[in-house]
This record gives sequence, C-alpha cells and structure tokens, in this order.
Amino acid sequence: MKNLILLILLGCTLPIQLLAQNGVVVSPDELLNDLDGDWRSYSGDYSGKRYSSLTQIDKDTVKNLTLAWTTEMNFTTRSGFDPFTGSSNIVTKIGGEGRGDIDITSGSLKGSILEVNGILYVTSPDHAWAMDARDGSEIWHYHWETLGGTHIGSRGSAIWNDSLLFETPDNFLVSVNIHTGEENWHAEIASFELQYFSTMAPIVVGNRVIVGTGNDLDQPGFTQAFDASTGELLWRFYSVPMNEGDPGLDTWPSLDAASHGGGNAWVPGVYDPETDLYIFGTGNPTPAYTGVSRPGDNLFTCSLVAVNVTTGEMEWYFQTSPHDTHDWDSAQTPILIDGIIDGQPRKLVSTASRNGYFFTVDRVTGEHIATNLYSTTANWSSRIRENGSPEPNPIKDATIAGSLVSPVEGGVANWQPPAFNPDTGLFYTQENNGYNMLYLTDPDPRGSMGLGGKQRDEIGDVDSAFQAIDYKTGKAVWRHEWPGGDGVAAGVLTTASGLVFTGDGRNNMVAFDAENGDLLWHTRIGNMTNPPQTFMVDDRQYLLVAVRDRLFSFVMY
Amino acid sequence: MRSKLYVLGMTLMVWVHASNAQDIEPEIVIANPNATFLAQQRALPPAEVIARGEALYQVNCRMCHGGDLRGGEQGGPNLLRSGIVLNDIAGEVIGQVITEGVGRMPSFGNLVQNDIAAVAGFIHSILATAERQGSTPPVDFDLDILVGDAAAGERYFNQECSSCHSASGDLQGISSRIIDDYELQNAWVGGGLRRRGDSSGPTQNVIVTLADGGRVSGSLLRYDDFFLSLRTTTGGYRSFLRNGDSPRIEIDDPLGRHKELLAELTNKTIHDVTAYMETLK
Repeated sequence: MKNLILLILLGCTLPIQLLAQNGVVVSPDELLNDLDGDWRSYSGDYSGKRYSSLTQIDKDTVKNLTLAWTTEMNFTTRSGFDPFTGSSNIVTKIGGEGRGDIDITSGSLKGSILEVNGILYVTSPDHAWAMDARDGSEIWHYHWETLGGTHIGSRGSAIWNDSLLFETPDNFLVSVNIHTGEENWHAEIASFELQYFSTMAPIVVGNRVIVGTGNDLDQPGFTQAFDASTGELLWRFYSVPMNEGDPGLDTWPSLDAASHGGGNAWVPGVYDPETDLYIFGTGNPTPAYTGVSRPGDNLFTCSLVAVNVTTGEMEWYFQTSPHDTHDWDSAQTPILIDGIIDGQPRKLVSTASRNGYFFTVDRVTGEHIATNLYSTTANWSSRIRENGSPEPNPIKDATIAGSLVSPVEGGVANWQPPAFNPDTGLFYTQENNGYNMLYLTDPDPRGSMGLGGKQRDEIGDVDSAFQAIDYKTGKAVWRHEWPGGDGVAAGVLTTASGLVFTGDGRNNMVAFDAENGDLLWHTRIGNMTNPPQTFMVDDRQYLLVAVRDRLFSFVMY
Repeated sequence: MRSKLYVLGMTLMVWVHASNAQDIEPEIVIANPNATFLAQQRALPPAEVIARGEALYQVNCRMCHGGDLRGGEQGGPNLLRSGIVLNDIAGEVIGQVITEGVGRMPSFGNLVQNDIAAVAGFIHSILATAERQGSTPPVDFDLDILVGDAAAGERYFNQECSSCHSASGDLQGISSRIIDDYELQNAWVGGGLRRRGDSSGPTQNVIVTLADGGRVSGSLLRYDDFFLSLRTTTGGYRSFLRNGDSPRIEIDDPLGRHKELLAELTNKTIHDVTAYMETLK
C-alpha cells in the first residue's frame, strides 16, 4: 500500500516537473552547430555529414560497447496511470483530422531520432514520443488520427525552440509542445485527394520549416517553407514546370506532361548557411517506367537542386539522371564538403545516387566537378555527357519481351543516409548491386501512370558492398564486399575517433575503421531500420539504433 | 441546397441533387474506411447511375478524354490523374468544368445536373478500380515473351551453357515444368540466384580450414563476416565464428558463372535462349 501511494505521488509529480521544464530546447541559432554531444536535426547538423565530434567510443574502446537498454515502442493510446501495474503515467495526446477508425500499423522506425539534453524524440507514421535517453522510458506520446493513405515511414522530426515538428502520412505538418506533446497547430502541406503522402523529416532554418512530400500518381513534386510559429505557408518550389514559360519546360513534350511529371522531394536535404541555400535531391519523373509519354530530360526531376531559403527561388541545379525510366529518384541526402580540388579550396556538395553514380558539384554555382559509377553492375547508361550527367541507354527501358536491368528498383542507394568524414576525406555509402528483368505491360504511347505499366522480377543481388569514396573523383579508396553479395539497406554514421557505423544486412550492426575498412566490432541485433546515431548524456557516449519497432542503446561502462 | 442521402441495403451511398453545380455540398459517406486513399473510402452511386454516366461519357467526353479516360484522339488530358477529377467528390468540381468549360474545353450545356452527377459517378467508378494509393486501374495485357530466334538461342546454349546444363539432362522438359514463359525466362536468367538465400536455392559447398589444420566441409547454410554455419556430408550441423581470415573458408559457388552472365547477356540473347528453352517440352 505504501508503494502504491508512492507510485501515485510519483505519477502526480512527474507531469508537474515536466510542465515546469519549459523554454527553448534548440534555438534556430543552435542548429548552426556542428554535430556534437546532441543530435538536434535530421542529419545531426545541416551538412548531412553524420560526422560526430564525439571520441569516447574509438578504435580501441569500441569493442567494449554494451547494451544500455532496449525497448519496444508503445503505439497504444493510453489514458493515464494504471494502479494495477503502476507502470504508466502516460496520457496519449490525440490529434488528427481522421475519424479515429483507421488504424494503419506501420511499426518500423525508419528515420532519425533527435536527442537533446538527455531526451529522445522519436517518430513513426501517426506517432511521436519523447523518451528518456538514459533508460528508454517514455515521457509523452502523441497519436495522430489519420485520414488513411500510404504509411511507409517517418524520417523524423525537427525542433524549433520549444516545438517539435513532424509530418503525417496524410500530409499535415504538426507542431507540438516539446515538453508535453500537446499540439500547438497543424497545417495541411499537400492534398490527400491528389494522393500525396508525407514522410520527410522537416528541416528548420531560422523561423522557417522546410517540408517535402511524396506522390505515386503523377502529381508534381514540391518543396515548401512554413512559418515555424504559425504554420503559415511562406513559399512553394515545384520540381517541375507548372506554367507556360517556366524554366525547364522545353525538356517536356507539353505542360500537361511536365505538371504531372513528379520529381517529389521526399528525403531531407542539407543547408548551407553561407549561401542560404537548401540543397536537396528531387524524385524521379512520372509516369516512372513509361517514359514514352515524356520524351526529353524532364527537368528538374532526378536532380540536385539548390533553393534560396528566404525566397524559395532555385539558384542552380545539376541533373543526376536525365529522363529516368526506372523509378531511380535522386532524393538521397547529399553532403556538404569543404574540399580541395586541383589545389584550390572549394565549397562542394556530393551525392551517391540511387542510379549508381556518384557526383560532386560546386555547391555555390552548381558547376560539375566529378561523376563516377560506384556500382559494379549498373548497366543503364551509355556514356557520361560533357556536363557530367549520365546518358540513359534506351535499350534498358522496360520492353514487352523483357530487359535485363541493373540496379533493381530500390537502387544502388536509397533514402538511408550516407556519411562523410572530413578527417579521412571519405564519403561512406552502401553499394547495392542487383539485376531485375523488366517487362513493359502497358505499351500505350500515352504512357501509364505512376509506377504502372511494368512487371518486374528481381533476378538476384550480386557483389553488394560498402564503399569509402574519394569525393574528388568518386572512386573507392576502400570497399568491403558483403559475404554472399546480397544488398544492404542501412544508413551510416562516422565519428571524429575514426569509426564508421552501419548495418551489414545480415542482422549485424558493424563498426569499420574509417581509414581502411577493417571491421572492429559488431552486434547481432537484427537488421537496422534507421541510421545509427550517437550523442552524449552524463559524459557517456551512447550509440542508438532501431530494429523495426525496437530501440537499442549502447554505451561503455 | 443540401445533398440528400440514400441508404441502399448494407452499403451507404452518396447522392447529389442540385440545381446547379456551385450549389452542391456533397455529403461524404464512408463505405470502406480501410481503403488506402480518400476517394476509395467513399461510396459510389448506384450501378444504374454509373451505367447512365458511362453512356453519357461515351457520347460527350470520349473523343477528347478517351474510352479509358487516359486521354483521347482530340488531345484531352488524362482524367485519371487530373486534379479536377481527384478533387471532386460527387460532381461538384467536375460539374463546374462541364457547365462552364475550361481552357480548350467547351461548355456542355446539354448536360443537366443529374447527367453531370452520373458522369462524375462513372469517372469515380473507374478510379475506384485502382488497388492502392498511387496505382492505376488495371490494364489487360499479355506479355509476348517468345520473340527470339530459337536457333540462335540453341547455338548460344551449346556454346555457353552446355558445360553445366544439357537439353536432354537437367533441362529436359523445362518448358513443361515451367509453363509460363515469363517465369521460364526469369528462372533461367537468374539460374537460382534469387533463391540463394532460402533453402530451395542451389547448394554451395564450403571447406573450412581451422587453425590446427583440420578441415570441415559441407553445404553452406549461412555466413556473414563474423559467422559461418554448414551442414556436413553426414547431416551434422557445424558453426564457426569468423575473425578476418580465420578460419579460412573456401566457398564453391555453382552460380558464379550465372553472376558473370548477368553482366554479359543482351536482351536479344535472353529472348533467343528463352525461345530455345520453350522448345524443350
């Protein structure tokens, strides 16, 4: 009885303590910091490097990593303290425009988790949680009652002062009080009637929140900025021409084709404070597999695009896949690199594209620096154009009798983020090699829609590997081939202590020596579904990763 | 004017009566909350209304928008991805365009409100045949895989494949065993690579040489950079932790040549060999 009273008292005092804990958690100015002891934004900092300055876990000590805690996410809507178990004082905060009768379970954690001052902020479609980084216990839970739709994943959240911001699958940007999970506001960011769906982790720049969305039905892709305090739309940048006279329209057969041409920007980009440019990759043109209805390069799909964050105007672009016909978007998070080219310091941005090509361009001007094929099997391009873009080979389009195409639909890389370590000068990425037979099932010259009009059979993965790439040339400095050759869907983390963490697709999380690719540590926890991350709490460096709906946190004691 | 609601049997239906399009405020009735996108969650009008809408569509709309709604001879846009259609619930948006015209499209004053609602119902009934969010209404199409030259395929087979395979041996009657040409082609091009991860895949023999010089051999079960397991020739299970090159492992991959082939095969060769395989009844 005494214990029960104590528990009730605790249950009453904890929320009061939380409420007392108000104020700014991450100010917009702090978002300019390099990735250090806290993980404040999708990539940890604006650069996309996923390079942590922490060095407690190093090449010698990494073998001492041990489990601090592991926990399953709790998706249940809860109403408060349970006197029988004494275990829960959580009252789920409910939001959403749905009727509450749709429950689409999509349990896997597939995005970045934020960590600030020992508190984790975790999202999955329709859910957000604050959790204690010390033991994985829940602090608050928010549930969004959905209108329905594609629930493929949530790539994470963003912090603006004392607000936590995230997207919902049915296309709302939600702002909640970061201390309590109470909703501040939500704003529609795309039309669900037009079958958009939203997964991106928002990116906060100053008082603006940048969001992207996805769509599989020939609707135009766009990137938008909202006011972080009110949810008011500030600008919208379309990836494709939407009006007569828009730039790039001459790379489409008609305005109708262009304005149904896709280019959805569904993965977070990076931000360069010096130029005020948000640099991101755009999605594939649509219809995806039946390019017959959209001859031309289809700008600005499958491109690196730099947009001025204040004005929403495009500053430059570089197309990484002209006239894609394989659903290989170029949405992958690029990385800002301050490098040396021909002896001169240069401000660069690099990306390892889903299509199997690695690119480095000048991030101020968009000038092309390097293109290199980083896949041993990709077979869809006939040559590199003078401007550095790969030329698609039409014989690798889907055909009625079948075409042998590499890579497979998922690509050589996908949304799982790469990393860059400035100490080694190496860009770390998975290299997924495989083939599929691709058949055209809708030869109509009007083209199909979305991802339709094709049938596909994956023949096999071969020679898949992990690569450390020289950003200057795109060539591998070291390459670790995965046993058996099957591909790996895992993001990457690197540290100032010379480590690279990733998954091996064979149920292990692994640590490489960043310089030479030696394997230094592994743990068999299952295949990671989100990228590994690190942060410091109580002077102790944690390593955090999700496997489906379970978090694993590692430390050294 | 408010829309009216009819309940027919077990299914809730939405229906609209209005004097002109702008007055319509459709009442949304949810028939299938588990559908993956909004339009699919809503009930469709009765079948006889859809049928009347189709008849009106054929007369008034087909020339420009096509019999399948994907665009027609006169260059009208694809309605299945049109924002006007996707934003419409029961004719309130489509109706305005039919009544007033838009861009190159003239107004269709001959269509009264009930006609408009019927046409909209027909259009929505086609959209509703899409399986998932972002997918298209099904298109009937038979793949014609057998376009190759069987004689050329036989020549290639004799030259490149006959050291491991034979038309009178392992591949005898292959096209009777794999009847679907599509499956036949994918099966031989992959040669089992896509089944490598599961137990039905081809056996990979492995020899493990231990530090003391002892050797264990068998068929590979699973391996990664840190572990290897195998089934010995006598049926026993053995596993080993791996650390770099220790213990030394040698894996004989019978699919090695198939992996190389994937980088060499042209579409024509693939179609030729499939045509040849098809003759192996």
